[in-house]
Amino acid sequence: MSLWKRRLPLICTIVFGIMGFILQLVPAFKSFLDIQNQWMTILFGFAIVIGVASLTKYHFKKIRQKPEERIFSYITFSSLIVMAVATLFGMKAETGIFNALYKNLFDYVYVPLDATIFSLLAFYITSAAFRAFKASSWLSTLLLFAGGIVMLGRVAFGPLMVFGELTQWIMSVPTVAAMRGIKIGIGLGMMATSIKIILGIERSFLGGE
Amino acid sequence: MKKKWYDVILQIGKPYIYLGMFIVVVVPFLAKCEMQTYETDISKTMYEKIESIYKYNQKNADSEMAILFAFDYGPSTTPENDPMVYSVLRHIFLREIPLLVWAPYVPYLDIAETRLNRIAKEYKAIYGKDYVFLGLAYPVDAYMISTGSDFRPLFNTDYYGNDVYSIPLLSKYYSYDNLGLVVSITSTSMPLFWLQYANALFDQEISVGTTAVSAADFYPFVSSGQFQGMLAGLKGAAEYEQMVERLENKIINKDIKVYLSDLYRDIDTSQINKKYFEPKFGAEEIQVAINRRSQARRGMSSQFGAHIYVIILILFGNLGYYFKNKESNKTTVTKAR
Repeated sequence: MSLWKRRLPLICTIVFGIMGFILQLVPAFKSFLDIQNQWMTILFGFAIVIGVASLTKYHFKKIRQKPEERIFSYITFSSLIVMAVATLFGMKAETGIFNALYKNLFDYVYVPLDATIFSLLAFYITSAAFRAFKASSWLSTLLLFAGGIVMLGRVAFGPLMVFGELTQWIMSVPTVAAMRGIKIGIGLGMMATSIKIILGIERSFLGGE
Repeated sequence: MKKKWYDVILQIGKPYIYLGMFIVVVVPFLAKCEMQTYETDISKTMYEKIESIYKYNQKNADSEMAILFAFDYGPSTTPENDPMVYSVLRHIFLREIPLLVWAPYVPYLDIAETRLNRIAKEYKAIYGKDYVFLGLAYPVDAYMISTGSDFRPLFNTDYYGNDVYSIPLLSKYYSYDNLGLVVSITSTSMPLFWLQYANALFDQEISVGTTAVSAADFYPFVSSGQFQGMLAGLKGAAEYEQMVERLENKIINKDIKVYLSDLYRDIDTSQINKKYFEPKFGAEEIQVAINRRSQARRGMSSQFGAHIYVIILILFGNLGYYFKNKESNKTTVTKAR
């Protein structure tokens, strides 16, 4: 077992996992909890560096191996560098070329791109609803009716208010019951996985095995 | 062979369906149709929670409670989250509750800063005394946990580079001990982090404003009382907008246009730091501020159109499938004979 790739990360996971657990549970260690939080911030900083390094490595490899797709990698690189420089020098500045660049890139490139991607959802949902929302079995018919009532209930007024009341019931009774079941299941699964990781039983996060 | 009516329906091309959606969303919005909506208990709970902080502050002037407001959303969901932010911030400023603000990711910072100062300006709020923008709280779980004791060592400075120890508001409010409520306006699973770190560990009360698609995830926590109310999607925002409009009319008691025009007219604006906002209102800005007060209700008219359109499409689609199946079954039986 290699020390740097497996043994050391495993020891760190076990030590810090158990330590984190104890720090949360024992009030006497509250001051250590603050130190741990400050360390976390520093570690997250390193994670960003690793992320950028990994992205750079991936795209350099892509440029070399897939010449027909290299244009996308060039766009990624140029976006990364321009936005990083503009943000570093322009975000906190009140005037100047970098501030203008940062403001314009954020307001007129990033915001519309992000909003456009999300707004496409409305069109996909419409098309999917038309083609896939079929009353083919009693379960799908139930889903269809519940969906229809909630859609009407969310925009209900006047004579449609009966759908509004039905929607409130659907959202606060059957939805809550189903979501609680799902969430309790997820919670138990997370607890079991966390314990397995802290005790070194689950090692897939180290890669291999 | 002549096509049957149901074949025509089932073969409607995607571009036409998309075009229909575009029209039903855009037309009501451009026509500035406003839609009143009914108010649900979960939105009222959140409103009442902020009102209770106001009442507490009235009675306990030396131990006032503040609100920590987290901008947990990015540009993709601004149409749904912005109206929530505007009406909740209006409520907080109208009730003069001390306000601390942060954002967990870099892309959210710019959104937070513009929205916060925009609304602060409408109520003559003073930076550092009435509100503070702490800036980036990344990694957010560390900040949430450290707020259990003192978040100032993690920030060092606020968003504008002011030393956190020199800001008057932060000498009193730096931990959950003096926070009456945390408000998270979000499009992500951030309320679950708030639940784990602020509510479970420090018993901090939390209210949430979220997009309609995420709302179903959070209903169990509202019904269990772990969240003090929730604004669910654009409808939740429209409900809150109505409630705050009633409150604003009651407190300001004059036309908003007149109120905003007069706000900085007769005061010495040289005392106000122009770094945060320009202490004056132009005619265009006033109109935008007035329109923004009914942004969610105008959005609701588009949502009404879109929902009715989807229901009609589902209905037509199912009728088409039903008659097509009926016809094909009939043909199979005839052939078998």
